[in-house]
Amino acid sequence: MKLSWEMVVGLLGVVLFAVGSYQGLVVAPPDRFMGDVMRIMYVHVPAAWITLLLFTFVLVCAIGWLWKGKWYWDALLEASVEVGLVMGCLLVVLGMLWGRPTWGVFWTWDPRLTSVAVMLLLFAGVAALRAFVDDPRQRATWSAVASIVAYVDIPIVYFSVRWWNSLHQVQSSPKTVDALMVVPLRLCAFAFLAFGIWFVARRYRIARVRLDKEMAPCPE
Amino acid sequence: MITDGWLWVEYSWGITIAVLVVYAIVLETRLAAVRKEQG
Repeated sequence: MKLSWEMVVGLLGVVLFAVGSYQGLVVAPPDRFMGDVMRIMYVHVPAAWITLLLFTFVLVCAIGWLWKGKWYWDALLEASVEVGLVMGCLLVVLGMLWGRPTWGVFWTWDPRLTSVAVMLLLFAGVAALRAFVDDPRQRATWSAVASIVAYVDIPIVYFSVRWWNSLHQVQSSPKTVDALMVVPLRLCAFAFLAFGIWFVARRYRIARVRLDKEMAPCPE
Repeated sequence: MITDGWLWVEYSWGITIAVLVVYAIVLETRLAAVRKEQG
């Protein structure tokens, strides 16, 4: 059996996630205040990073399509929006599971949580728009413009914890975190990056097949 | 200190693994279907 490069990246992600999980669940110490529940960070934070990275890649694809008009930008945009939404939903669910034992509630209309909810709604709107427009060129242009508009929310998500008084903590840095906690966080972050690349590459192939079918000349 | 921390950690890992595995299976199934349709 011949493995494609995407499958190799996916397998690398599985290995990194297995090692990262061992480090995060067994080797890393519990947090002084939150105890073991803090270990959710090793999946929640990588899910957040990959979501923001994927939606930033959506912006690159949107600009790429509007500038160059190459179809691969449109297929990559479609793939990244879908994978970003999957990772974004996972991010929110993991955040809720962390919020319940620490804040006492699964959800609150805090600036960070609200801006993330808006982000998911905006990109879900881009995905819905693509589902409703039949003409490939119109679909590509409209969804590229909608993606650029949706991206306006991403800096708000990132800076919301600094701009406003938020329940959500501000971003940590390796200087403020114990080295035993940094290792599993990095391993899981690279694992999520590998999963993101794997999923986008596979979803891109699906989008290309549909595009090729739509662009094929009608049989006489 | 939160006493039932491990319970929430278990939920988190379970949901993460479930989402990743299910989405990977969905993608591979969809890709196989469109390729089959394409011939």
